[in-house]
Amino acid sequence: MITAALSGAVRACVPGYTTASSHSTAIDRIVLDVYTRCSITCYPSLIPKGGWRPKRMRVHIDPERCQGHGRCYDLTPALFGADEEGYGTVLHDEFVPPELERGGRMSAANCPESAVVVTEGRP
Amino acid sequence: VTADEQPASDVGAANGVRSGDATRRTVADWATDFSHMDAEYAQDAPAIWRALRQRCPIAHTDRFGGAWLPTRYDDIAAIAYDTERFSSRSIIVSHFRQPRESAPVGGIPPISSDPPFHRDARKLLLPAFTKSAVDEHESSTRAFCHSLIDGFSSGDVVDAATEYAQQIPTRVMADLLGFPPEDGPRFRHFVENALESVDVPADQRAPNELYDYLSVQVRDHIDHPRDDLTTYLINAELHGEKLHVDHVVGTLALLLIAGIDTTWSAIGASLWHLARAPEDRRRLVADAELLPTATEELLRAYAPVTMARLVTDDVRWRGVEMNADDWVLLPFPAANRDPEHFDQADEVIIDRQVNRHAAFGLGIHRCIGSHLARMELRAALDVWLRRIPEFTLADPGAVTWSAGQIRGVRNLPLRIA
Repeated sequence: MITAALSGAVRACVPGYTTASSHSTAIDRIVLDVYTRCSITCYPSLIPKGGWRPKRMRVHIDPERCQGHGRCYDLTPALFGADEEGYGTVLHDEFVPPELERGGRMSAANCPESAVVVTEGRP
Repeated sequence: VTADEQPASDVGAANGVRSGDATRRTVADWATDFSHMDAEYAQDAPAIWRALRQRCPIAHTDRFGGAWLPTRYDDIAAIAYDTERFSSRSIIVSHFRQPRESAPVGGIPPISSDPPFHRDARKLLLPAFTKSAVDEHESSTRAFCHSLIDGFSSGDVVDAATEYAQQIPTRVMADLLGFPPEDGPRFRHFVENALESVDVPADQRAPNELYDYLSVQVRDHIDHPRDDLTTYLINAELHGEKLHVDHVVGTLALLLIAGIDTTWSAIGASLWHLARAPEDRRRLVADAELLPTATEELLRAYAPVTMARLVTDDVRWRGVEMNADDWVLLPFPAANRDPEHFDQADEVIIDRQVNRHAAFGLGIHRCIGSHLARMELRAALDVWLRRIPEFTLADPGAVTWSAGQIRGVRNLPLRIA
């Protein structure tokens, strides 16, 4: 269980590695090996140098759910706007600037219709 | 502070209990014989919802020709989203149901409308109620709040419900619709007739002065067009044709009634809370930045509005047998206190960060005036707290709460000096 999660984490960090790749089983073996020898605290040492890419956030508004409550643009006006009928719009259609990520999460958590969707991952 | 600690004497004779068969009988059992017009409901609806959620989450009554009262967030939301099985053609529970032929328009579009008509009728109004459109009224609203406080008589007790909370949305709606501001006291009368005498059989209700009044206003606006919502509606086109005069008058009736009682209730209940919670009050006085977050929490805890639907066809719904034309109440204030969805649901936490409350409803009928109501509530509280940072209940026994579908304080004597 834990090793599977670690393998997944390692794969997510290493660009180009997928479950289908032949490297995948190698990673599994290494992770299992290291995990059984060391305590879990040493797993960050597994992260390859330069393998981290910062997580980036995207937000979008589900137009089927949005009813124009406006909590998103009330809370984070730098990230969300309103169209002429008051429905929410996203002002950054690529990635959310890091300083607005908290606002993105807050707006998603406060949308009464759960229309604000946040996805975070490595590009 | 627990939000529900309302003294038993909070219920006044002035509200809730009127003549009419639906309320004459005391409620025998809240699960099988509820009445949202009952004095006990006015006094402490949150306690009734809490008990029902545990014991019988979808309560029933034979009153009003059959009605249901769901109390869990998930049930209330599901009904609000299901516009096929639950029609909006009547949204205030009474002995009168709009005839089926009135769908999908209903008597007071768009709140009484069902899809697909609803979308178009609502689209007409949306641009007038966006945040940026209503923000233009903020400075005049704040100035009006100041003028109300300037006008308080020199005594040290003021009724914040009638002399402050009630006045603000009355003036704002008169300005928005282009009606004479001095007609405000008449609006109060219209609201009472529309919302608080629903248990009176239809043939015993007062003739509808509201529609007569609105017809005169519409006529005046046709003769003297001006820059206000009434003129806008008169000129608006739907599906290539001007709105039928019944649509214009119906929408004006909706805006006037829905725009006044609701916001008034929210302002009053918020001041009631702050009068009893000195810690919250002082925090807000010291840190005005907290006001928007606190406003949302006050809206959650004291959401005024319960809407209703009519069951379209006989249906077995989540374990209960609903009949066609049964009423279903949507107590959004009960949804807002469901512990499955809110931590410490019965506590008022003015810096609550995650607050997915449903005070303005859910789904296609989201309160179209929500941005206006929020602006008014923030302005009313901000001006009050700046001008009157210290205040307490002058006489807890004199505080009265309304019964029915709009919940709020109707008398609120506050000691302000």
